[in-house]
Amino acid sequence: MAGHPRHDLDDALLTPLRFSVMAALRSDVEIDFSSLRDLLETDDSALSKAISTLKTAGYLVVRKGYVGNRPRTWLTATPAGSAALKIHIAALQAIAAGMAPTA
Amino acid sequence: MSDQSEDTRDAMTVSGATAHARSLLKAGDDIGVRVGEAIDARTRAVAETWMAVATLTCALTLILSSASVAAEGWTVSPGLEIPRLNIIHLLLVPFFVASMLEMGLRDQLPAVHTRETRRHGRLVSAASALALVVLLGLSLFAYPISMPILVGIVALAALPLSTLALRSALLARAAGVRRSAATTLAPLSLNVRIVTFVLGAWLGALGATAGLSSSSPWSIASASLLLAILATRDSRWGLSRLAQEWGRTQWIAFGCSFLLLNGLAAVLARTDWDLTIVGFVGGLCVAAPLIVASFRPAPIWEA
Repeated sequence: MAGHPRHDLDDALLTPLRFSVMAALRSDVEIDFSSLRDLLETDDSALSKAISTLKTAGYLVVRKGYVGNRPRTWLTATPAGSAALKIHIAALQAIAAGMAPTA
Repeated sequence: MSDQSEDTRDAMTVSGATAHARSLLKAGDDIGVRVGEAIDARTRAVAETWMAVATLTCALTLILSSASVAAEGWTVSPGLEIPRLNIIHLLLVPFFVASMLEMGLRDQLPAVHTRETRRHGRLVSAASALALVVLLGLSLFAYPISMPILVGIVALAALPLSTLALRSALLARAAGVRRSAATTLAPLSLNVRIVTFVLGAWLGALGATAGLSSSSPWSIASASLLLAILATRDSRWGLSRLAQEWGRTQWIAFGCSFLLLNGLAAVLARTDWDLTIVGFVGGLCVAAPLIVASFRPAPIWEA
């Protein structure tokens, strides 16, 4: 469908925080909750909400684990999440480049 | 979707859309870089731990292969049946190769190459190298030395690198970022496969010929290969390229070959068995892991 690249933007990635979460997870990494919170310079509550939305969208998986005796919550992007992020980034790049509507 | 999402989408349609999209992309890139730095820290910790183990093993084998502990202290064993230079050659070549591989691995971690870490790394390496050179000198010139001092020199060789590795490991552990399992496995590129195979065969031949009473021609050929490796370090045939492409299988195989060579050096210096046979069998065992690993695939992570 012809249209402005904004139509390719993913609803689940529209907030800067959710976009940042997926950007952090895109390179085949596992990140634990507190490390991600520190990396993104946000707070527990906001990050929990963002993760909940992304999890509902099927863009990330949450896994509980331990490092030593300490419980940790590990986050990983799903293939669907990685694919959605790629499309979203392509749309952002098109907008950033000031492109005309895509064919 | 929330009002905030709608606002963001609307922001893309008005005049500030370009700037907004650019700022989001930049934020995403910045986060990617920070995640990459955390992963690099883990790789650095593994590389430093490996070098600490290699240094300690090399120092201990140097003592085991050339020393006898007597009541009056440590002295070089008289009457070894094989040239002492063969043993030293057997120890130093794999250590040199390990150092080159570790440097190659570090070079692909731009995030950890600050001026401070580079200077610190050089100081630590110099301290360890100095202690190893002292041990080497004592071994070559058969200088008697008491056991506590000897243990002190071994500790001096291994301690700086061990401390560095421990610090990096703790930092990496606290980072809470790790690379997930690779989804793709691919064969090594042809040149890396060939160099891995040649490296295995070379180290194996080094072990196989160490038991010979006269192996000067081979030693000269081996030294030439060492110079060739030094000259081609940063080319596509160099050890740096190996360090970039190797997966866990290849690193473990090299570790096995390295430890087997060290073990062989100690055995050759102390055994009463037929040295030619021990050397030949040992050489086969040393060569096998890397030769097999050269045909094994390595993981690929999406960039």
